[in-house]
Amino acid sequence: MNGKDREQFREFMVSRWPELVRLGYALTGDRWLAEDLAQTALASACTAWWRVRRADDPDAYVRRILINASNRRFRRRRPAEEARPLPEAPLADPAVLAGQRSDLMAALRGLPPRQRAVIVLRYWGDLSDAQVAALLGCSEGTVRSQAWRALAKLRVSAALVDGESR
Amino acid sequence: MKLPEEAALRRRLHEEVDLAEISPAPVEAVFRRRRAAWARRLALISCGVAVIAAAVGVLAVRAPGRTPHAPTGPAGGGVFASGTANGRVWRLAAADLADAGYRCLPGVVVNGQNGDLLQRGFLPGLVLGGAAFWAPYPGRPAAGFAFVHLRPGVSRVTAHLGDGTRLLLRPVTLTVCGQRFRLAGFRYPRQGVTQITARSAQGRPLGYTPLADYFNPASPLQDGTWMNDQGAVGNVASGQIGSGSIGGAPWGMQVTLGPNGECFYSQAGASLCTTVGVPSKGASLTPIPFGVSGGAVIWIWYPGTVDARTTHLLAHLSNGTTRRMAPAVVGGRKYFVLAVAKGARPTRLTLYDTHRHVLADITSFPRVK
Repeated sequence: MNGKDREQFREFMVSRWPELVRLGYALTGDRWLAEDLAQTALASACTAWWRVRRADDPDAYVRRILINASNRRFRRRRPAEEARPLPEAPLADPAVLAGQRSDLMAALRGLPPRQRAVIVLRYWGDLSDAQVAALLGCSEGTVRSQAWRALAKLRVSAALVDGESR
Repeated sequence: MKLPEEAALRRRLHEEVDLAEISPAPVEAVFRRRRAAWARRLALISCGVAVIAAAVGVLAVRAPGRTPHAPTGPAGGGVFASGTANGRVWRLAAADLADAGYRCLPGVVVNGQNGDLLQRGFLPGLVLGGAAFWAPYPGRPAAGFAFVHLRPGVSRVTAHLGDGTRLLLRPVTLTVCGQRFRLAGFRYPRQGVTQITARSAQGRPLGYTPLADYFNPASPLQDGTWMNDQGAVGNVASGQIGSGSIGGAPWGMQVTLGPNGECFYSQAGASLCTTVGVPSKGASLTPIPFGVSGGAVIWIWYPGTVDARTTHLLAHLSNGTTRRMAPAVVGGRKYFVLAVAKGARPTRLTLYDTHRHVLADITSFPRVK
């Protein structure tokens, strides 16, 4: 990597860092892990910078690396990282409203990686089904079916039920 | 789910995620990780080279008459997958991509050409092994070829193609360069590959989804080289293949052999990657035009490989000058590079062996795109 590439990559990284960390956080619910994933994705992009910078959509390329890294982590550590059980009753006390956000993240963590990625990209990333499909390397039909299944699971979770009543 | 519920989910996700506190971008840490990754890769390659050297040594002692470079195994000629596309037979085979008499360089070739390097070992977290895709005919019905270098124990490998076809692949274990590789290959249509599934040694289902861009003819990833996913361990070899000066301006060029194929880089910033060709009988040239900020071409480099017996080359240019060059060996392959200033072009390239016998006389050169 020569000086020009290095400067170009530095600019790219600084401008994309916040969004990548947020994507990692949405996928994992853990801010520190999110930073690690973002750093991993950008380190990979740095190694293959000549290829990334020539891609049609370098952002999509790096997001894809991050999602894959997140999925690999899920596969490796799944037995030790099952989501904690969701509360059986709705959270009615206003004093715990602050905790509802992490309930949403817990509910997301309970989803399989692909369903979680679809939900995050669709509802947080505001991407179309076609864009999500391209990013995940699957068909739009798969995106829709994964979203439907994920939403069905979230619908019964306390986190989302509470969200509606707020 | 009703629309209000989706809106609530969208709002709550934004509330939760967008408010997260973000640390400054750790630019230097990323550069450090990149350097560390390269160092690990180089260490791995060094270990691999040591193992290969030991294996070749053992083979030479046990079977003095046997060529350690020859691919051997249950499939004749190293072929691990074959078929017919558009009425033509295709074969994927493991082969030694180094020149005869040099260190062995294992790779995979399509119909004896357009190789991709094979490397031992897998990156952590890989489920199937290393997958590679090459699209010589993007957009056409039989668009490209793929192979998977499988992890031990992985079985029941199925390729799910974009046109809805499922191919149950038969992995073949081959020995090339004294190393054993389990390979499965197939041809894919223009709709690409949606997924490759398999079973682990413990019977667990495994899945790998390649990047959609691998199969998009408009993607810059389809630049004519193999696209190596998962198993891109690092460069196998690199070295300087020539240097000099034109009009008082110095230039230098190096070649790297690795997951991006055979890449030529000039100090001035021009670069080009291609598939790894089989050892040349004559010479194989790849023109690389180089311009400056205005875009006008000022130099053209012609790097390439030459017959392993070549000790020097003589180039005649259209402006009446001649250049004498000596080839350099990188990764067991003999390379040279001819630099030509704007306005001139090569008219003849002659290869000589150590006894000054002409090995090849080339008068036709690839056009500059």
